Amino acid sequence: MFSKDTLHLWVLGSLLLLVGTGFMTLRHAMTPASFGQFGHYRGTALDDCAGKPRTLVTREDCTGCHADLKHPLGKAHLNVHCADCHGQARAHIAACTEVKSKVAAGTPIVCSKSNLLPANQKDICLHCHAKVVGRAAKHPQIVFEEHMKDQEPKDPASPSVCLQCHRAHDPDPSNSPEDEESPAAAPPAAATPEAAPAAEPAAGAPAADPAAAAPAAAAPAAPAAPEGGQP
Amino acid sequence: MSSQNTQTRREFMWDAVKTFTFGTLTLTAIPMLVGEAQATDQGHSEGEGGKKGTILFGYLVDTTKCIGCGNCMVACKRENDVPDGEFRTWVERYVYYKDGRVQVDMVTAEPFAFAGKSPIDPKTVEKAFFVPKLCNHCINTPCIQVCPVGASFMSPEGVVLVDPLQCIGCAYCVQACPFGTRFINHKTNVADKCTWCYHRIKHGAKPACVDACPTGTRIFGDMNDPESDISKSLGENRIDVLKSYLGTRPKTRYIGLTAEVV
Repeated sequence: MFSKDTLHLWVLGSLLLLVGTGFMTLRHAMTPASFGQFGHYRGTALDDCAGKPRTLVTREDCTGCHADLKHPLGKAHLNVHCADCHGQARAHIAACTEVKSKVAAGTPIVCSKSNLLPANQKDICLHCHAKVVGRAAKHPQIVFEEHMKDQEPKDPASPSVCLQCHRAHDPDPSNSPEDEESPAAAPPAAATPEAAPAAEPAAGAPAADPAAAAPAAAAPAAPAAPEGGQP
Repeated sequence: MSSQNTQTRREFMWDAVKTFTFGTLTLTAIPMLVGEAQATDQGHSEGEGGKKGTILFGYLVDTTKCIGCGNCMVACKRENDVPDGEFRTWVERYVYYKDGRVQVDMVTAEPFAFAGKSPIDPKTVEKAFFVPKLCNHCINTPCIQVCPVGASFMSPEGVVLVDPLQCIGCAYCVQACPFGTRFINHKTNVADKCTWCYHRIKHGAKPACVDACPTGTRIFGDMNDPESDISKSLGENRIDVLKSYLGTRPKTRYIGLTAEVV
């Protein structure tokens, strides 16, 4: 049927067809099924990107339990992220969630005490309020040594020296803490049976429930420090 | 025989069948390829907005409010597990000296702002300000165009994303981005970039950097919603974008830029 010459063309054509078919089959096999669903990308990648876990502790995580602060946020610090000063309290949230899951809804609870107050409190304040070239003039800034010259703090050496005149939640000096104890001096309001971590219920949930607090003793415990509205 | 000048009827019919078969195959292949190209173009132009009922996310940076605390950088790294030395967002400081020099440096956020940096004498400074930087989520994206495997794409809400499963780590997009916002994540070895925290904004939350900002420098929202914070701010302020001459049409907008800020 074929001449000697046309046979070559047919062989060549068949080879091309074979290679082409092979390529298309391979391409089809290696392209994800949802590729091209919305555009030139894998359609399920949208859900992958949207489904990643949230790790950052945000204000909503705190206000769920601490809606009523002993010291409400003043205008100046209204936008300050709780975690900026109190740290990423993942252990605290995990412990409290566990305690909460074991009691009836609405029961006031005492959580294990993760230390939610920074040891280097002064540095936390200076992080935003140290005088730095570039910060807008209207933003309150101090050179710490100069600021201390005309102040009369009770304990100038304390790492929480700022809190002796300023409330962290409402730092306007006109709202000074006056004779309230500094957080480091505050006595533990309630002790768990194990007594190791001092615990104070959150503001607005004053009743302590030792039975509920007991399981939380297993959670990471840090040096005693009161929690809630302070600072 | 075929070498003869005249064909037999049988040979003519056989040639006709061959011509018809190959012709049909070729002609059907062309519309398929064209259709695929059109679908691609639609994918790229998605998110340009203007359609009613759709979401078009936008981001506004008010540089006049930034205090360079770096809380946004820390929050971003925590939220997105960005390795040390790589940044999805960062904060630059532009210092204009009285002798005419302009110096740019970057905020170091940890352990606290400007730790370990030698302070600048304020008397020598004419003016200085901070400029937070992040992905511009351009409408005409150079980075998506150069991706050879379809790993970079724009979501229907206008967010430029990377599909880590498709990405081969060739870094074409890193070079294509005129704003230097992309990098190869040395933990995963694929391209990484700001996603405006797509996993947060899809569920109604704000990006981590916006949540963490104590001064309201960073504003985020749906630009198609006239009642959103960002729509109002965009309407009330004089808005600029970085490198507008490149025509990438960024959706990250700025208040208070100067000509030196690039």
